[in-house]
Amino acid sequence: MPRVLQPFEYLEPRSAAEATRILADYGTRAKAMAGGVDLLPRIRQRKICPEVIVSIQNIPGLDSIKEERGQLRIGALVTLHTAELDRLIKERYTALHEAVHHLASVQVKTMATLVGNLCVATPASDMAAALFVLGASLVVVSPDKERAIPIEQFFLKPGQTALQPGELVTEIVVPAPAPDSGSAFLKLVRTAADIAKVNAAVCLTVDGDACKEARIALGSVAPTTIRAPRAEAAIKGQKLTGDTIQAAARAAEAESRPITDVRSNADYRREMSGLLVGRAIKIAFQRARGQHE
Amino acid sequence: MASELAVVGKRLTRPDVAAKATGSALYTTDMTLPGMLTAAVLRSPHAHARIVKIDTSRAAKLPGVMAVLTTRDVPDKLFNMGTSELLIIKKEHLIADQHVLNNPVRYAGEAVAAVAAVDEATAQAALELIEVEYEVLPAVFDPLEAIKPGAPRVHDFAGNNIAQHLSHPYVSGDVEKGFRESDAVIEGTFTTSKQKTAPLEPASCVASFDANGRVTVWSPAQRPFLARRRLGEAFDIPEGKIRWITPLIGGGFGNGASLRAEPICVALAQKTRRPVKLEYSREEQFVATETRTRFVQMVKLGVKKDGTMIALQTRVIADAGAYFSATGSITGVNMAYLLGLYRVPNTAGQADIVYTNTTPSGAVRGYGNPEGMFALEQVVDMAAEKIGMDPMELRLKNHRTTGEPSRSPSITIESCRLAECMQLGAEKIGWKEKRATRNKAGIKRRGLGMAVTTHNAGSFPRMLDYTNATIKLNEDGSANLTAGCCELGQGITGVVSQIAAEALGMHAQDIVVYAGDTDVNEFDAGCVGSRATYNIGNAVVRAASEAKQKLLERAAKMLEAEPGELEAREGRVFFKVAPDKGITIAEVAKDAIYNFKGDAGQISGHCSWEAKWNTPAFEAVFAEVEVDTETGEVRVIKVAQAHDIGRAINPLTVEGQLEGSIMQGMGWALTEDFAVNSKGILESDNFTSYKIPSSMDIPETEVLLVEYPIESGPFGAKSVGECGVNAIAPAIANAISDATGIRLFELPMNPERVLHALHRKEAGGLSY
Repeated sequence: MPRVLQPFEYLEPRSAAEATRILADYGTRAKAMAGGVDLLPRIRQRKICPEVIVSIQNIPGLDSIKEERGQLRIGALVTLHTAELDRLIKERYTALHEAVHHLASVQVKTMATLVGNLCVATPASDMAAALFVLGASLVVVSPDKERAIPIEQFFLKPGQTALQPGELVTEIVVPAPAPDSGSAFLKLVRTAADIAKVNAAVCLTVDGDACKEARIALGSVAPTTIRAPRAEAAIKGQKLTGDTIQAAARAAEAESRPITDVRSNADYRREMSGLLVGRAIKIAFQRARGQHE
Repeated sequence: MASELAVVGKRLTRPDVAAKATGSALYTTDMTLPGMLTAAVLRSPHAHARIVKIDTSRAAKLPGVMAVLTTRDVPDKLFNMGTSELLIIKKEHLIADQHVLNNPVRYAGEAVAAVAAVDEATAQAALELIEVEYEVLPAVFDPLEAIKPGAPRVHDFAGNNIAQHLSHPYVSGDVEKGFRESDAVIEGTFTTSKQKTAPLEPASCVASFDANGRVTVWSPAQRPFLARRRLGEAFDIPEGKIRWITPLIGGGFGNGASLRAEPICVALAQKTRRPVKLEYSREEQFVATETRTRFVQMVKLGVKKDGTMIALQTRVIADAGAYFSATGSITGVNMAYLLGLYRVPNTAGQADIVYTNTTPSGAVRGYGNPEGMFALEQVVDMAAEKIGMDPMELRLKNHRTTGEPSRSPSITIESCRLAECMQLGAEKIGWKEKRATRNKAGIKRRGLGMAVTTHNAGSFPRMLDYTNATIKLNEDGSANLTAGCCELGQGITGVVSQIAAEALGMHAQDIVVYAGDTDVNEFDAGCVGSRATYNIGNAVVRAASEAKQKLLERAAKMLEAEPGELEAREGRVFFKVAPDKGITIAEVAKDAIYNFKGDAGQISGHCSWEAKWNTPAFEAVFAEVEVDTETGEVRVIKVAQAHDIGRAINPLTVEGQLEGSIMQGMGWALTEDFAVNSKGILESDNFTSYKIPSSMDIPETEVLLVEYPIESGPFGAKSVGECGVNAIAPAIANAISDATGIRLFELPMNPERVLHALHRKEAGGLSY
């Protein structure tokens, strides 16, 4: 295994427009880079060999978290560390906070960005699961247009996103949580700084004991992060009891399509998909009802 | 020896840390020589394959490529990458089974060819131009499969893939009779994993031949003299024609006790007649350097109702991997500790050492002992449960202690404070109280477990344990100490400087230590086997004492006194009866060189030390865990580790060793998994896939030093290097069992295995 990086050209555009022009010109020969924590090791391992790396670090305006018209907007240069410390995310977008908080080591958190993590398109992305249930979308710019991609349409398969050549993700947009809603994120790992064996995120809107709306997502148990619609159906419009939660957990188990790899095996992942969904429902339910665990 | 110690026992800052903290410390790969080439290695994609054809012509023509090395270019001579066998008094373990490059290749990742080029990019590009035609051969990865009739043969000479059969040399009594007379017989088969150590510095080497054909090798080898001899054997170069320099080592853990990158690097330097550097990537460090030995151990223990152990038997299958290396002596050590910790009248041990098509096994911290303890210390707990006895009581009743034979029966245990260790650890973990009140219902259950262990200081009497030390005083009152103490991060440089300073009456910071250079240092057996403080320390204390005698004699002349009237301490020589009357060591040392009266004679001391004794350290480990019975996750809440150290030369260093041991033991116990797929390809070859615990995973630790200075150690010190890792995994296993009632027989004890065992228990299957 080589220890050195293959040579590449390194460019630092000053605007998103300039970045997208470069990305459009070079097409698949170029890669955009924010923190570089995933990109550089993959270049070293020869999994990819870009001729040009387009750093977006010098593009102004991408490094902030703000709330505008009830929406949370997270720029493409916001690091996990910054997001972890953000009070708004912690108080209102709990699943996302939990996903960021439990991810990786401090060293990685200070380099890695949320958007960068999503663009890697790993099926194990913790942020993706949280953003699925929070209903997020991504703002994508190209030389001639801007579009929004709902996060559920962003991942095509492992390592592949819906981005076209010349497109750059500039922001994550998360709608304001509904009143009487609560979210939770859980995962299983080998050590504290590890990629999830299984992760699960749940966001519920409740009316008393009943579940009005439910969004459930699972990661690391399918080629991309997935919603678990049958699990959602098992509790939507239902009273949240041991039985309905158990039914949702069983459905989630059935909806998972895990593989065996170096981190875990398929049977364990399937069983844990249900377990984590059940646990996350209970936590999200308590949060939605304003109770604290 | 002064009654009150001035330097030994103090928590001094180690002399190597400033350079390491500032990044100025120099390691092997910092070495750069004019005209130096960079090497890269082509590795086999197959677990077992004959190289039918290899075409290097395109690679050789690439501009900047200076040499391509294949099996045709290496000596036609079998050797062994391990070094331990060079010191074994009985030669029964010796097997030479590999060339510098081998055909066939016997594990995925084994070197096939190598290139030396002007830079790394060129070397890497050249690798891609080497065309190899392989005939893929059937392969076997599991030692139990390997011994079956008809299994693929890894080496032609080894029928049923059995490289060697060992009988434990110290069998006693009649083990079958012992089992018949037992009230309870416990039996279990325990499988350990091929743990990888995780040194920050991967294997690396710089080699340079001079115009006279003499080669200098820089490498992080833990045993420079033995590495030199092994290398010389492989290349037919006499020892005197090799200068081996071990600079600072970026983590040893036994991995540097075998040759690694050196043979290929030297072969390329020989071929090109230019200096060559070879630095393994992390992936190469994982796949192509030796692992902990996978042991399958059947252990059977017979006890009386009152807890008296009367029979103990072990049958071992040891997985050597593709080459034998040190697996024979590791297996011997494994059986010796397993059968030698407790006082058992009837014992027997048999082992088969088996080849598989996997990365070779070799020396790793503990050297067979942790593997044995993972089995034995669980069986002891199972026995305690069966006869209804507290596991600590059972251990207190049966462990060998002061005055009894050690695991090497010819050596009587000089001092054993294991009982104190157990009592202290039990108190700190809350053994009695928590075991009485712990929550055994609910989803998350807590449990406490313990395990004990012992570990020798060096390898006497099975092996030659020999070292030398020389100290000389400079005119400013500082001293240079040359000794065998390679600094692999364990802190030995500080330890020997404190020992020398104490023995000589100096300050530790005035001692400059030099080690690891075969042209300058005298012979030493290496920083392995928990031997350095005890054996090198013993040489240093005697060399320094000899220098002190000369110091006092010269000072006596200067002060017009008798040497016996004087004492040296903290940089001064003074009258015992009038401590404020005296002279500085610097003044005496200056007089010894700039004498001008015809009486020059630099103050020095030397000791040539061959160990003739071995006092083991003892240790008790207590672990508290919380098991999530729905996920199978095991969280280690606290580890209390009490170590019978004799005397801690520097308590900070000893505590550092033990805390590191807890982490390494925890990783082996719970998460580290050398995962090989169905084709024998290593899937966990970096720190993303192979998980060692980090600072975020460390539990609360309480490291307790039980200090009763011993006669045979320097200032009373015992050893600490390996002992700490031995009993972590079984203590955790016993705690898991205490919490849940399940018994785990295989490492790592990951959530998948824990949950599987919990399900089996719920389904009414045997918990064990």
